[in-house]
Amino acid sequence: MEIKKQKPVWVVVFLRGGMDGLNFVIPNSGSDREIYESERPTLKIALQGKDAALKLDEHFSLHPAAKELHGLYQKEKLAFIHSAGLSLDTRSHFDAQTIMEQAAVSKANLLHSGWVTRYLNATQSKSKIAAVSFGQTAPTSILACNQAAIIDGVSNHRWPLPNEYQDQFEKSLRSLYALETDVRPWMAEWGLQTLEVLNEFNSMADPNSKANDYPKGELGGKLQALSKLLLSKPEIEVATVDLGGWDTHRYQGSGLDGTFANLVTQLSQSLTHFYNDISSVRPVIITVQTEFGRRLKENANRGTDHGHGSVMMVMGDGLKGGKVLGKWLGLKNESLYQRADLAVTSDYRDILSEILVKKFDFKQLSSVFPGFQHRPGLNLFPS
Amino acid sequence: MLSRRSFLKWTRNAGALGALVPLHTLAAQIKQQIKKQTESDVDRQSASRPFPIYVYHRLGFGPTGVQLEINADRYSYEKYVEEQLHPEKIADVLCDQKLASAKLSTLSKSNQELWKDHKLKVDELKKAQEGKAEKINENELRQQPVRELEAATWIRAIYSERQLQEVLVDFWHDHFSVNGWDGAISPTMVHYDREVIRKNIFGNFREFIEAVARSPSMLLYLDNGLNQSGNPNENFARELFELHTLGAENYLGTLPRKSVPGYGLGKSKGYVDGDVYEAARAFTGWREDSNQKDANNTGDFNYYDTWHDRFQKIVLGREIPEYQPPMKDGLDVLDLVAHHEGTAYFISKKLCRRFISDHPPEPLVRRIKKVFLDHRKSKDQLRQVVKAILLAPEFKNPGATKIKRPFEYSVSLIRSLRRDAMFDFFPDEEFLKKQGALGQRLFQWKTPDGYPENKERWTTSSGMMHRWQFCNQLIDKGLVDLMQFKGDEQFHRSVQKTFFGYESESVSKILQNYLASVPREKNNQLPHPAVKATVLLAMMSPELQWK
Repeated sequence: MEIKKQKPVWVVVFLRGGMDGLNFVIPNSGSDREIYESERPTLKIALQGKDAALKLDEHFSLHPAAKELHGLYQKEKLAFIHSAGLSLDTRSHFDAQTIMEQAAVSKANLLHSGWVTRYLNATQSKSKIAAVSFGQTAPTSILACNQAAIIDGVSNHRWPLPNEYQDQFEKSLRSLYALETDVRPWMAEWGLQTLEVLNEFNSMADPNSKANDYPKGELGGKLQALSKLLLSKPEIEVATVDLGGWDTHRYQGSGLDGTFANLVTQLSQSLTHFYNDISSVRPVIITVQTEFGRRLKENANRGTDHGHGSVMMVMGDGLKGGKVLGKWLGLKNESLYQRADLAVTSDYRDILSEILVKKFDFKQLSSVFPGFQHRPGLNLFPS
Repeated sequence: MLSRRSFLKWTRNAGALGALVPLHTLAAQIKQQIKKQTESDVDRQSASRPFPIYVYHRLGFGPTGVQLEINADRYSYEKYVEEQLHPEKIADVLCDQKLASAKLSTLSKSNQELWKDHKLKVDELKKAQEGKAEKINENELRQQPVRELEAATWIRAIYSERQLQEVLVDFWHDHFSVNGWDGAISPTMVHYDREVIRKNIFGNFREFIEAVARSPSMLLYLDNGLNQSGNPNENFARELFELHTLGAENYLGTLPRKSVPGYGLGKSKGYVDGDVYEAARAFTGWREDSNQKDANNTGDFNYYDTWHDRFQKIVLGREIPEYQPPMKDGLDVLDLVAHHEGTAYFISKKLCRRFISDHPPEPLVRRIKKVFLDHRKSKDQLRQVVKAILLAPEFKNPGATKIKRPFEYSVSLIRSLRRDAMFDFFPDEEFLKKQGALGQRLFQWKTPDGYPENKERWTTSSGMMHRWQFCNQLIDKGLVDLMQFKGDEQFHRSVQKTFFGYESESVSKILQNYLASVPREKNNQLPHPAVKATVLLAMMSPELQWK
C-alpha cells in the first residue's frame, strides 16, 4: 500500500532520428492495410507467418519484435497513441527535437530551457537531484536545470588519495569551484553539482551492484543504472533516457531482420524489464516519443525519408491501457499530411499534459507548456 | 534572411496551435527566458589571464609548457595570427618526427589504396572464412584508417606548431561531420581528413562543399551514393541545406515554395521541403564507385548517369533546366547554396561562435558575413574570413569565456606538460577509450550535426567526473613529474605556474589553506600524498576548464 501513495517517477524516453510509427503500430485491416502494403512493397510487416505482427485490436498490430511490450499491452499497462507528434511544419530532426524538448510554440520562439526543467521549477522541488539524465552531453529537455544529474552510470567514488586525505581534498576542490560563483556562475554550478552527485552515489547502499540482469545494449545499460538510482533515491522525480539510430533512410529491414527490428527488440526488452523491475517498488510512468514519423511511401533504398506523425507510448500503473488511442485519419491520400505522411492528430503536449494533470495533480500547465491550450479528452486514465 | 516579423507571422499561421496564444504574454515569457540566458552566459568579471595565454587557447589547443613562460611584453598578436594563417610556411619538425615514429601506415594511402586494403580485402577475407569456425577480426582492418587518423589528430594537436590549422580541422570535421567509425565509412576517413577537410580550411567555400559532396565518406554516410531517380533518397540534400550551408535558421519548413520571399526573383530567402526534394533529384547519380551495378569498385567518386533524373528542377527559386550535361544539376545547386546570403551568415556565425563566444555579437557576425560574401570567388575566401574574425576587436574582448570541449581540455593539459623535446606521449587504445567517457572520442559523433559547441551541452556531471579522473590518469601514466615540486613555501605558486602559466590570488589562498591543513612529516617535509593532492587540485581546477 505504501508504494501506491508515493509520487510516481516519470521516465521520459526519446527515440532520436524519427521512429517509423507506421511499421511499429501497423494497420492490419481494410483500405489502410491495402494502401500500406502497396506503398511499402519491401518494408511491410506481414500479418501471417512466423514474422507476423502481433494483434492489438481490429485496426492495428504491433511489430513482431515487440513481444514483451505486447504482453504489457495485454495486461493493460501500456497504451499507444497513434498519429501523435509535433504539429508544426518541419521535417528537420534538429528543429523538431529542439522544439519538442523545449516545448516551444514555434521555432521563432525558442525558450532556452527544457520542459522538464520548467516542470521541476514549477513543483519547487527541494531535492538536489530531482532529475537524472543519461549521456555525455545534456539533452534539451533538461537544459538550464540545476537539479539534474547528467551521468553515464552509477558507481562509488573515491579520490585517488589515502583515506585521511579524502575530506580535506574535496573541501578544497569545492572551494575552488565555489570561487567561480561571482565570476563564471556556469562553472561554479557545474563543479558543485558534480560534487553533489558524487556524494549521492557514495551514500547509496550498493552503487556498484549489478542487479537484475538487464538486456544487453545501450538502453538496457542506462535503465539498469537508473533502476539502481531510483531504488535508493526516492527524491528523483524525472529521468530522461535516449535511444538513437531511428533515422532509417536505407535498408531499414522488415519482419524480424534489420536495423528497425533490432532497435524495436532493444526497446521492447529493456523497457519491459525496467518496468517490471521498478514498478514493484515505486509507481512509475514511462512515456516514449520521437521527433517525427517517416514517409508512408518507401524510397528506392528500402528505407523511408522524414515524415510527420508517429506513435507515442505511455506505460504505467493506473492507466487505462490495452488500447490504441488517438484520432486516426487513415492513409488515404487526402487524409495524409501534405498527401505524403501520416498526419498529427494528437499534439505530444496534450499527452504529457494529461499525465501532469491526472497523475501528478499538476495545475500550472502554462509554465511547462507556454502558449499551449491543453485539450483534455484522450482518456489515458480512468476518470 | 526572413525578417523576424514575417517569420513570426508565418509560424503563427502555420502552427495550428500558435493562434491560441495571446502574443503579448508569450513575448513577455520569451523575453524573460532570453534575458536569463544571456545573463548566465556573460561572465560577471572579465577573464584575467595573460593575453598570450588566452590566444594560445583560442587559436590553438592551449600553450605548451614552453609557451607558458612567454614574455607578454614582447608578444605580437598580429604577427602570430599572420603566421598561423599560413601553416605551410611554419616548420613542424617535431610533429613530423612524432608522426613518423608512430608508424601510422595508412596516412599516406590514396583513396583507391584505402578502399582496396581496408574494404575489399576485408570483404574477401570474410567470404573466404564463411562457415569456418575461426573468424578474423574484420573491424580491426576496416577501422585501421580511422584509428590511425585519430592518433595522428592527437599527435598534431599536441605537437604541431600549426595550431590554428588543427583548430580549424577540428571545426570543419564537426561542420561536415560523418560517423567515421561506422564500418562502411572507416576505410575512407584518412582520405576525407587529408583531401577534403585539410585541403580546404583556408580555401574557397564553394570548392569545399563540392569536395565534401563528392567524397566517398559523405556519399556513404548520408546515403547519396544510393540516391537514384524515381524515389530519391533525401538524406544528403536535406543536411546540405540544414547543416552544411544555409542552416536551420533559414529553413521555412513545409511552406509552398512560391510563398518564400524572393522566390519570384529567383532568389529565395530561405529554403523549404520543396527545395530539399528538388535538390535530392539534382544529386541523383552522384555516388561512390563501389560494388554497385556498372561500377569498378575503386572507391572513388563516380557519376552514374543512368540513375540521374534529367528533368527540370527549381531550387531556391532558380530553374535548373532539363537535359543538362553530366553533374551540372548538382553543381548548380552547390553554386546556389554556396553563394546564398543565408549561408554567409550561418558559416560566419558558427566560426565566430568557435573563436569568440557562444553567443557572438550580431554586428560582428554581419561584418564577417560581408567578408564571406565579398570573397566568395576568392581562392582563399575562408582564410580572409578567419583573419577578419581574429583581428576583430571583439576577439580581444569577448565578454564571455568559452568552455573547453573534452578534446581541448585533454590536449591542453597534455600540452602544458610538454616542457622539452624529451616529452613523449602517444594516445594508446586504453587512453582513447577513457577519452570516450569524457564525451568526445574523435569522429564518433553519430548524427550529422557534429559535436556540440556551446557550454550548456557539456556541463554534465559525467563529463566533469571523467575530466577529474583524467587528471589522475596523467599522473598514473607518469606524464606529470611530481618530483619537480619540492613542497616548499612557493609550492602553491609553482604548481599554478606549471599548469596555468600565471597565478591567481584566490586560487593561491585555497592551495595555501590546503597545504596548511596537512600534517608535516618529521623533517617538516610535505608528505607525498599532499604533493599529489595539490597538483591534482591545480589540474582539476576551473582555470583549466575554460578558454
